[in-house]
Amino acid sequence: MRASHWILFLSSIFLLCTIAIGISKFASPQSAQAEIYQEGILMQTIDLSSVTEPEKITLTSKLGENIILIEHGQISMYSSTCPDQLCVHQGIIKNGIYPIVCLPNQVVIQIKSSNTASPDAVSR
Amino acid sequence: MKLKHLTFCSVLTAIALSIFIIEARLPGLIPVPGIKPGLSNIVTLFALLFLSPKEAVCILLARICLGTLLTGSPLMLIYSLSGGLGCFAIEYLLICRQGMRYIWGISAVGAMVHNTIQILAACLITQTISVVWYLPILLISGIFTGLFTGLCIWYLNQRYGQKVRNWLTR
Repeated sequence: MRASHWILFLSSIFLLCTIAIGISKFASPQSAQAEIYQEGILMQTIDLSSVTEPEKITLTSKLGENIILIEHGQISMYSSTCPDQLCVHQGIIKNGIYPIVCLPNQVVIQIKSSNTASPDAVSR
Repeated sequence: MKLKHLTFCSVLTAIALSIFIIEARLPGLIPVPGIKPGLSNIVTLFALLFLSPKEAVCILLARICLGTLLTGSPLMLIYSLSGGLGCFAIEYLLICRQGMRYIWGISAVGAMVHNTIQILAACLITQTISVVWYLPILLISGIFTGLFTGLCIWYLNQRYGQKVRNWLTR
């Protein structure tokens, strides 16, 4: 392999990734259902459009404690006991394909990705 | 293992561990889980090139185990260990085949493999598929951080490679 092969290989991966990021912006689910997973188990499903007052949910496990803040149409990690605090810095998610992930405490918050519109979603 | 090699390995482990801990303390530039400079991989690559693969694995394992003990939660051990060993395996194979002329490319591939394995581990552990959407972002960061660490080693080898080899065999 020569230097040009390496550069070609790396830049093609770069291009593919850029395209994938572009697709992910369009593939966002249009839904207001948030799902909270802890250690791979679905703990709660929340309809964010029906939330009127901000509310905090506390998840405790042997790994640590996470507090999730629910507001109208949006959800965020309020605080966490994990060392890197990345999940807190990820901020608010409204829609979009990127979940909030707290790897050390095994907590995932994602917007439900049911693109097949349920009767509820149509009538709303 | 000669005494000189043993002391050199422990010094390298100390360097890698300090880089690892400082890196873990730095706030992330982008709030995406798993993105970090990965500078401690410079030490692993250095050991792979100037010492033997066996010694490089020892340094890697010692750095990961001590590093997670000092900074992270026990779960991070799984991510670091799987990613680190996968990255090491692919770098070792590529260096065996190609030598160190294109070490920057090898390092970039290693970083990408590291990120891919970590995402797969995250998928398995959290049991959610949507984590995969972070993979393109991580791969792009892997290309650049890998190139950087690779170029560090490349310049190091250009300037001091012969000196280090002479010193080790003396």
